[in-house]
Amino acid sequence: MRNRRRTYNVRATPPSLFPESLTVNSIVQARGDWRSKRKCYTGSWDQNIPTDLLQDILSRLGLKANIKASIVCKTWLEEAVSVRKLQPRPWLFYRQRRAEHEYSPAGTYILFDPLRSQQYKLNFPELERNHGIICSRDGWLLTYDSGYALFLNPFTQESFYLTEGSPYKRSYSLAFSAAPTSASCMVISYPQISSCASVVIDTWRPGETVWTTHWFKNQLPKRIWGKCVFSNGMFYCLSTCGYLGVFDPSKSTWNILPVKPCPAFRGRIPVLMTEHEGDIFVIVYTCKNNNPMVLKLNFKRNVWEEKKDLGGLTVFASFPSSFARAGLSTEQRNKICLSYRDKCGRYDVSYSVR
Amino acid sequence: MSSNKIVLTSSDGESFEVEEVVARKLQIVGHMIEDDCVINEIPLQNVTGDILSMVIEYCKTHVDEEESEEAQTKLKTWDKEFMKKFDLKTHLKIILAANYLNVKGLLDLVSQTIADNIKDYTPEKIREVFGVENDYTEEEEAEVRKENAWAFDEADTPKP
Repeated sequence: MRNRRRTYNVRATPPSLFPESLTVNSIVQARGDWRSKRKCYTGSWDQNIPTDLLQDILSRLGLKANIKASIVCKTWLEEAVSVRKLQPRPWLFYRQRRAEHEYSPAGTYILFDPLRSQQYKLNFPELERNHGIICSRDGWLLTYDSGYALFLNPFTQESFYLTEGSPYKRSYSLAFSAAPTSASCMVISYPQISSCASVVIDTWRPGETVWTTHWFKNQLPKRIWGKCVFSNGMFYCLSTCGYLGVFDPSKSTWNILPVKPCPAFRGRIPVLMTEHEGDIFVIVYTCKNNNPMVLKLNFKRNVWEEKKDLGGLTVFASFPSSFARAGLSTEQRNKICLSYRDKCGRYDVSYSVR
Repeated sequence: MSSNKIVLTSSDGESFEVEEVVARKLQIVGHMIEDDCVINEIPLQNVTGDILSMVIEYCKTHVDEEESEEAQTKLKTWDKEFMKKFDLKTHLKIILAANYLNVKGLLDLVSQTIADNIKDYTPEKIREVFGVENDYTEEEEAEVRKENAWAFDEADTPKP
């Protein structure tokens, strides 16, 4: 019997993992890939955490928590960076302008990677009519023509129509929460202008044959809900008077947040709204002033706070969807990249936010 | 399935008699059994009795991995409740034991539990509960924070 145990000792794995002498060693290691580096921490309870286990724990964190963990110490930084989940790069999708290529057939679109300046020409006959692109998320576009809406994925070329119904009214817009192939996808139709006694929001999930209508008491007089983003499980609609209405899909509720109106809309200057990891940003810029105003919603204090910069983020702005990305190169940080011609006629302008 | 009993002994001399099917959930033991079927007492010197008993409790519950959705949901609920019983200090002891004893399911469970617990912690709080020493200089730390300033709430950012 003792001989048997000695046999296992011979097959021992590196003993440095545990300081005590090992009587029995694991023959097949749990994590498979045991590398030579064996940095350990001495915790307050005298236990050593091998970096492999630390890496496994950190790999389960989202981007924000991962970045916070990297502040703990240099070893945590190294492990956190090695398992950091990077955000997908933004792509710009637009109809090819006729002036540039007069003979290109209708339905020719350009998929453009602004970070690598690469472009791909794609043909989408489904979009031949007067389809407008309403919003995009997770690689999917939601397009709309009078009477029907279409989900389209320019990368996989998949597309499908949404159930027809009451939402396709004038002055209503659409927003969605996740890729239509995901179980959590919900599309909402929200009123751009609500002047009557109620706010009507229709919801639809892929697979459903009808839209569900939700009626809410209109807490405000005539409002134009100009912007909508989905963040942290909620749809946030910003009115041109600066009020923020929130539709909660899980509880089917509509509320106006008790936040002092956002001072973004003054006249008709362009206003962008975007979300990043649960934070909501409103950005106001004019082409005369190269220093846009950046407002971030502080959920704890219920106020819009003006920020000096974008905290290292890069905003890719297009109407109506804008995206924020973290962790781009130093030259690309704290910048707003426009994908359209601004009022001064400039195109592809990058604003640096300082 | 054989109903052999196997005795597992902890580093502090506590012995646990368990069914072979339960002991096999500890892959370290499973491989020994496959190599040689006569082993019936196994000393496990890197795990104390209190932690070993928790690992055995997990293995007993997970001994029949039924595939039905109902059974899976039930197990998940049990896992959650099981983890709630312990604090972070114990979670870390369990993860070390699960790693040593090679219990894949438990390793995943504890790792996820620790991640869920620390995700809302500030870096200062993580240092405190993990007992990790900050080896950044002030300037280095400020630089890392500045690169991704968006990830830090105002309350987390030390005043200059």
